[in-house]
Amino acid sequence: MRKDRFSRRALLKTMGISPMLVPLLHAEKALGVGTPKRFFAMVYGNGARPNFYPTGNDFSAPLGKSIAPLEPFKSKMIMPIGLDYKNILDDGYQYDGHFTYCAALTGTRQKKSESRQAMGPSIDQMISDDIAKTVKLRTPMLTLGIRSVGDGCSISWRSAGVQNPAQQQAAPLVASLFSGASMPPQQVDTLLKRRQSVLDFVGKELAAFGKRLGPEDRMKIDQHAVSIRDIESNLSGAVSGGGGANCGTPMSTGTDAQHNGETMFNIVAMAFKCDVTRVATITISDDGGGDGTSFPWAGSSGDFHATAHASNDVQMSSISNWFFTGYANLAKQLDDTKEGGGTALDNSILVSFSNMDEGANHYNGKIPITMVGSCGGYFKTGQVLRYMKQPHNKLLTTICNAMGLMVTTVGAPQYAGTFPEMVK
Amino acid sequence: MGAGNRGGTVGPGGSTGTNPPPAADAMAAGPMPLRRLTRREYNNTIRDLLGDASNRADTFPADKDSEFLFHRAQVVSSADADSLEGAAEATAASLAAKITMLAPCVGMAEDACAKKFVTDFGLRAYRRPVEVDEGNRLMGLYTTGRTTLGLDYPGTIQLMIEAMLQSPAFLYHWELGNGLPTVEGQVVRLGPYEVASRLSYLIWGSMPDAALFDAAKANALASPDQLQTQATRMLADQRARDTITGFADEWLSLDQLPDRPKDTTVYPEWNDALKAAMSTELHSFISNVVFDGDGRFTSLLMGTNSYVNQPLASLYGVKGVTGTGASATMLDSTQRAGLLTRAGFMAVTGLPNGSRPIQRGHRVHERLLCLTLPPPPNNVPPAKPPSMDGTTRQHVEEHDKMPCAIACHSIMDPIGFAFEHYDGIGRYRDQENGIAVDSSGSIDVDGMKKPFADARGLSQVLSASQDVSQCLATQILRYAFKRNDVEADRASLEAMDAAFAKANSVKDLLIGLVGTRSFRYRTPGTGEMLQ
Repeated sequence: MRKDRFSRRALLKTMGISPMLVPLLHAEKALGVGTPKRFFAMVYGNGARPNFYPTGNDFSAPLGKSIAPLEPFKSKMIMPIGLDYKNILDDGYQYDGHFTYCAALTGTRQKKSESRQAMGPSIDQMISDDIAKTVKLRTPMLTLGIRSVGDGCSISWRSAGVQNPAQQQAAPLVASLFSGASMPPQQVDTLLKRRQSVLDFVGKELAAFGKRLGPEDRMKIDQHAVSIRDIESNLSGAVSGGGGANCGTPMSTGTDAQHNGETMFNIVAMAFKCDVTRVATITISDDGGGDGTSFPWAGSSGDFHATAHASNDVQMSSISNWFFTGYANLAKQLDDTKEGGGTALDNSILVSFSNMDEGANHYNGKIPITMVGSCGGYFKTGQVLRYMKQPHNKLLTTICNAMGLMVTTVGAPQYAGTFPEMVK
Repeated sequence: MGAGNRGGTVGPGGSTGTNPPPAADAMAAGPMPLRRLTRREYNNTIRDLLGDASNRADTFPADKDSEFLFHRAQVVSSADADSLEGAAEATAASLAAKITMLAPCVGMAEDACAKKFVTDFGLRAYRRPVEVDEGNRLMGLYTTGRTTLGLDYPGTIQLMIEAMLQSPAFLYHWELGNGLPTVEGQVVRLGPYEVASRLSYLIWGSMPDAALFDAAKANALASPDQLQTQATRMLADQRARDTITGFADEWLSLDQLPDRPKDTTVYPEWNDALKAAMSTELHSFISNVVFDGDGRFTSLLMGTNSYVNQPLASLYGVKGVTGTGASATMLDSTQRAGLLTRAGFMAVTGLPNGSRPIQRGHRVHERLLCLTLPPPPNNVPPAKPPSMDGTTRQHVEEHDKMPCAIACHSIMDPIGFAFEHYDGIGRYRDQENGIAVDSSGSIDVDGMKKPFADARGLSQVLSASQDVSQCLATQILRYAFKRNDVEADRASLEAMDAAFAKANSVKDLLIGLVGTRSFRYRTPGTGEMLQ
């Protein structure tokens, strides 16, 4: 453990920057980087119906009902069809579809039937950590959940065995993410110094507290200390990040399950436009399974899990259509935002995964995936790509590279590599 | 059967009951993993520590994990740390007017006042005396506040409170003692302040009060009798009511009511106000039975007294209630009996557009009998939706005839059919799609198959069942300790059973619990420093 771990001020000094100037340091304005790239992932349950997929090898025919809201974005999309959660298949589990949330963005899972444990960080965390090396954002990473309490397994992982919990309520996020972005420099400096002192104290208390605990309990305290260091290293961003010409307040449509969910996508859109964050995920991970998740507003009053089991084409397509309405709404808000020579969507990569092939079979191969946005011209969009027995890890690695994180593998080494055909 | 539905033996198919287990180890006590204040505990503690009832923890990430029924706080993520920081800042900032009360400083040097504040406030914030090193670090922060940050005395006190509210001593339940733990045989005996906190968080979901701190200081929390006297005193406080209703909310997932979507073409009256009225009814009923009534568990499962406003009265078919406030009334005893027949429980377990015997049966099986089922097999088509011809029961029975479905549904569905008189939001019905409702069924309890005519009959069977009362004790222990029960808890659970058996009293379960070995002792954690 480094002795100077709470010395953000020291770091600023070595950079030759007075804390007084921190507000001016915001984003790439000071660092001279180009338009920011953003990463968004949506992961949802119970698989896809056949109409999820384009009928031919291109986007010439209209999209089916499941993803119809994406129709206006076909030229900006890639559909990689047939990728597997191969790490789970290779471990010998073919029908663990309800237990793949942890693998979607990590490419890993503990080798155990029905395990909910990832064995490494997810790419949202990896990308966010990479961005944090050069830019201090108000919230480096947003982890959101819609009806995801039931299954209780995050898609976002700090490291092996350590989940990032999903925030479930939209209303308080609107308040905390988009308020008070403009603070006079003197006040910023005072607040930074104060937080520094408090976090320094908390770090010492945690170190003392953990001493006598057994390893299992000490892990909790160690992780707490890691989280304190996370917010400590982002002090200046948390105080001064966000704002700009495209920034406003996200539209909140209501607090019931339907509108809370819809508002979540608005929050991500505005958080990207305000440069409050550049990495966000939304899980819709309550698969039902007896807990009563249902989507009456989308025309499906039955239990989500049972509806999926029944291969009920009409209802499953309607539910999927609702998920992709939110996703497409995010895409539209970004596409309506001009940035550089293109739009904010062109500088982003949105990706969606389901947790299984199809609701009736629970198969954890042939995963339904969409990609929207070229990530600053990195991706060759407008393509339908078909794969056989390829690990989704390669897609995760390709996305990391697109975001500027030049890893060669995500997950186990045997799944290393990228998909060059996706790239310009 | 005995402990078949208790720790370590829970598995697919539930209890086997082939061999009677050996007698429980009377000296054993369960482990106690380090746990952090839940959102509820955080809110209550801030309220009782600082008189601030802002409930800032309501917006913290949820205290929910997939491995455990009840709420418990998760490992602190960056998002949690962020929330805790924000809440501490907001709380401290709101205290400006209270500093003269929290840290009075008259006729003394300010440094000395700060030291006294650390001792006095520290005891309450950390729920035990502040250790010397901790006190030194707090005074170090005081110096930083006065010098580096240039704050005045009140401002520095606010800074210290902000920091203490993020300190692990505040955020976690510390049970390792001041100095080395007291080992007795295989277990560790909790110190007086640790017992005081266990009492207050069990019964109030909050920090100890002055009487508990005094008792801890006087080492008067050592014997089961002393603890039970305190528990009895504490149960008379309003906060105990919130704990019991909070337990019921989590035990039966009643707290999911606000998020439960319904098809408003089928149930046009479904709205936030009705959901709130259902919640109020459940809480008032539970609180009334346990604290104002005879206190018996049987009354919770059989009572018909109720508290309804006009919209809920209309759903129940109760005449003469007006307005949006709740009025005391009696429900029709030919239609309702106890908690399981109330609209709120039926709405939580019902479909958006109909009843739901499988889920309702499963809820009783899992929550009142503490039994678990294996996950459903793949490729099972569901029953037909309620909108199709015939009754829900007919659809479910047709579904259950499939060979792959028999094993589990033969257990759950006959229980769930009891509730067929209640639709998806709990309205009573005699007919469904023009056909008379058949709510008869049976349930396996206490080693016998017991038939019933409807949900009232089912509730009668459950209220008299030993399996159910043992499960209730188990659930209370899980709720109290935020962990599942283990073999080492068995003697403690049996002591709770005995306390409950005397008068069928819910309060006696809590009083029984505080006298047990698992409440007063703990098995040390692997690798914990004991000497």
